[in-house]
Amino acid sequence: MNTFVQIELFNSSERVNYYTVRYLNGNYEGQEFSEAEKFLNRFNDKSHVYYEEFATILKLVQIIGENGALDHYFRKERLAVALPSYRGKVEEIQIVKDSQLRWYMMVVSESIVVLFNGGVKTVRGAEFCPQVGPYFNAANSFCKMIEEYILKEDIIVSTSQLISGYRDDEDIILYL
Amino acid sequence: MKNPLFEKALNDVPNYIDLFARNSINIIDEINLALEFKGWTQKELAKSLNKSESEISKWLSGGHNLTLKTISKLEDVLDAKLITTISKSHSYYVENFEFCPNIGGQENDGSKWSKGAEQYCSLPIDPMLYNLNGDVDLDESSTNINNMEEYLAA
Repeated sequence: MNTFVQIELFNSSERVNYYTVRYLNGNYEGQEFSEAEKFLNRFNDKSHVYYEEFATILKLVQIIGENGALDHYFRKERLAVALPSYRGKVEEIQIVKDSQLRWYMMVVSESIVVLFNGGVKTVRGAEFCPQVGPYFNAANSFCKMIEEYILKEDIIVSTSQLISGYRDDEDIILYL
Repeated sequence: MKNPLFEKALNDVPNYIDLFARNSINIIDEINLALEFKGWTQKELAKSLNKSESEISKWLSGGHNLTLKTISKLEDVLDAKLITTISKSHSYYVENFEFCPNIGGQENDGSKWSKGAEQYCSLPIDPMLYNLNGDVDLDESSTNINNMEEYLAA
């Protein structure tokens, strides 16, 4: 059975438009929370053991929004197909030496970033981790699919926006 | 477009974390600027420090808690000042323009280094004194460093 997700604008900042994805139910109705919101909901709790790391990641995302999504701010995870026109990679922000909290994202360009879900990595090799593996693997699937859609021009990458290749005002829906 | 959950979460973040994240990003920018100025890759930096590339990659990712000792080692091999203290910064930069290559009036591409010296040197440089923007009337005591090569040649 196909899974449908919608790409939507999450937050605009000075130099970066952050997008996220939202799973759609069978009737194309969106779930209550997008993937980025689910990440926020899980960790935005000051009593959470990972709150300090979470808060730092949030601030880094905010500052990157002010500076632009420059290459050197990110740790590379698995490389997808590298194309010269954009950077199709799943990236993560990892903070503090011993922290294992990850927030996965795809940096499409210096001004477009797609935020996914994330979590706490408990074993070496994110894809095998029972905690973060599903989010890591989903992020890679989203990344691969977005890349394919861009190649087919079903998604148009403008200076700072992702636009449907069919109609400017149409929602971008991925069929996974 | 602002996401309310994201904005609320950001507003709740303690100030010291905001300062930590900004300091972290500023230092990473400085390191990358120094790498670029030296023409080094992270691989060459790793080799000079006898560290693995993954370790260096970790050091240079946003929010990594670099120790003063690590920063000092980086300053040593990069031959560049990465951080300074407020009271030392003024006299340091008067004497060491070359440590801040971005203020030499280089061409900007409109994105990467376009925020100017204040952003990438992380220092409180007085724009009236140095005329960083090139649009300030200078008196005789001021120094125009819009064109660093001309200034150094003079």
